[in-house]
Amino acid sequence: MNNKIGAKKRIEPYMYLVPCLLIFGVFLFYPFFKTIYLSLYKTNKLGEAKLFVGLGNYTDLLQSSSFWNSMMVTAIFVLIVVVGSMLLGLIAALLCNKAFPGIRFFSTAYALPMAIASSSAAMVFQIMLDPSVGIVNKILHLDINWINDPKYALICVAVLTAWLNSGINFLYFSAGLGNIDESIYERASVDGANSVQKFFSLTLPGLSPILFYTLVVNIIQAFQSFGQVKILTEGGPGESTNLIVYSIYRDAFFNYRFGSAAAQSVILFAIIMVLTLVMFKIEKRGVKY
Amino acid sequence: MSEIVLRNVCKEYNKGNMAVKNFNLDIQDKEFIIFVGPSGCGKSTTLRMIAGLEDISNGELYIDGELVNYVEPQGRDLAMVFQNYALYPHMTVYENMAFSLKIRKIPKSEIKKRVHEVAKILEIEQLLDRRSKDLSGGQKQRVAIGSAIMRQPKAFLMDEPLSNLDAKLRAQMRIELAKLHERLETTIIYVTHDQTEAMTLGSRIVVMLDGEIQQAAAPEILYNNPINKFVAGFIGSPAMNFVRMNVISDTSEIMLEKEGFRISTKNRMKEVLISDNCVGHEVDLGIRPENIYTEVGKESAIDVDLTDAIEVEVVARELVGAEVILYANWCGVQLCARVEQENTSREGDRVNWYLDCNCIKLFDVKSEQNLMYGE
Repeated sequence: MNNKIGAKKRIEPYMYLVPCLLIFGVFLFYPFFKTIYLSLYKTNKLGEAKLFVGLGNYTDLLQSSSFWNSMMVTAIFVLIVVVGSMLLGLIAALLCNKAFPGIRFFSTAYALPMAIASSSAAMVFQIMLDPSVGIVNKILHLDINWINDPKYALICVAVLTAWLNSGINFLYFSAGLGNIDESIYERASVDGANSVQKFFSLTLPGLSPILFYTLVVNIIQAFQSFGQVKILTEGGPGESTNLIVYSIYRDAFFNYRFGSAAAQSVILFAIIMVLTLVMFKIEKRGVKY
Repeated sequence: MSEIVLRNVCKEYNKGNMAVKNFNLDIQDKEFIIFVGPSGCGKSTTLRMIAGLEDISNGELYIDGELVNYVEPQGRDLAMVFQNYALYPHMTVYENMAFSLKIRKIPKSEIKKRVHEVAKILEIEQLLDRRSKDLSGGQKQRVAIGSAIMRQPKAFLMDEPLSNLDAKLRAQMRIELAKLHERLETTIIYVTHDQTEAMTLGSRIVVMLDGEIQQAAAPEILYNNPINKFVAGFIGSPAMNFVRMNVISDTSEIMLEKEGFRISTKNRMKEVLISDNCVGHEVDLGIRPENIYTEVGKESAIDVDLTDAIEVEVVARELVGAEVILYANWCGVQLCARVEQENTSREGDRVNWYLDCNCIKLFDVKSEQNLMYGE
């Protein structure tokens, strides 16, 4: 009898976790392990594992120039997006940190990109960047085929993504700035610090925990950008915007090479995981507070 | 050298909401000036206007003869200690103290020397490597003061720096601040609502109420010669007793009367009552708790001029160390007396008290001015 009650007691907490674990299991763990499994096989057009090739998919990838191009493009893309979106968010948050008439309008405007779907934003940009009727060429008096020129296509997609991601960064930074005690700025003023000194000595260190968090989130988010590439450039021209996620999509659903796509997914996962771990390691030294 | 002059300085919030009204004050070099008053009287606002953290709505502020109304805080060369200390949370104590020198591009070796010097004065050398968030209230307070005295500014501004400390630490820091003032030989402007701090530290005290200066004078003058009823009641602890009295004239004498109890007036008190046409009207009598004597106390009292006895009913007794504070009711007025510890009066006792005529102050009922105020 006692034993039964003991067992019940032990099981009880796990029972509460079951619904959550079930959802995680179906939508996260199963696809995750299935992907690893698939990456070791050659598949048929239906995506069923047919021929075990071990690490064959991986060695093929490492020898493929297209894959290395994807990696390179992704790296540049992530760099532009992360730096751009964080700078945009930070500048907007700094501007909105002072009370002035119309502050609510501006705050909403700066936060708005977060509410826009990436594909719809891409469609708007497509029109804006149109070589003949687009507003960008009209305003700048240029004649550049933005999206179809390999020189500019990646930058266009990256800038669009940076702007899209800046909305949530703006919110994070605004919250972070609000947390910095106003009186330390007053003390710094009396101490004789100018605005630049105050920014670098007080604002940045005060924001550092949030900066770090947004950096991690932004890097992961940038790696996973897809919608805007799909709508705006479809990986082209050539392979100039063939980001790794888009390359995965293409391999899987155009070329029906699910094994190779799965292997790329696993590599992407490994890259993001290593980057995140490294950043958390650095955090202990870099983030003050 | 620093002389700070405020001329008709006003602070207006919104429209017509005056936080500080026509503030006029000449602060001499090396003075220890205290702004004191109840919460919301405008003392902190005035200090912040001097620091440049608040705009001056009207009037002029001069530092060393130079008009500084529109000079940014950075350009005023002052140092300030804030009520919440405002330490930079991500910096160590050393970095906190070095900050004002570092931004002035002073050589590192010089900064190091200064920090250690100041840390030694304030006995915080062992804390230099700690983060400011890991410090106790008293330690933070020392670091805040230390950071302020790193430079030799024209003046130190202190905004209730001791209010977050416990009573014992506060008393200790009070003494250290007084020592520090002697050592630094610089002007200090100090805001507090604690009149003990004001009395013990200040070389001159500015008593404020509702944005206006009531009186600016040395502590002993404020205590002995308050300009009005507010200052008389605010300075001194426990506060001065006030009793409304009728002024009557009886043959050749001018008397203060309340329900049969009479005090005959003479000398200056009498002159003032006559010259101010108080006869036939009411005045407020003010007497400090230490100028009320009991049956026992009056035996040993010297150099006093006691009134007839008033019969009071003791309502409370507080023992504060060497002495006892007695609260009593007399004709519907609560009086407070500071008496010797040996006094045995208890709650409910009916006892005789005597007032020292030499120490009685008289205040106009309407204007609340001290009728016996002497320049």
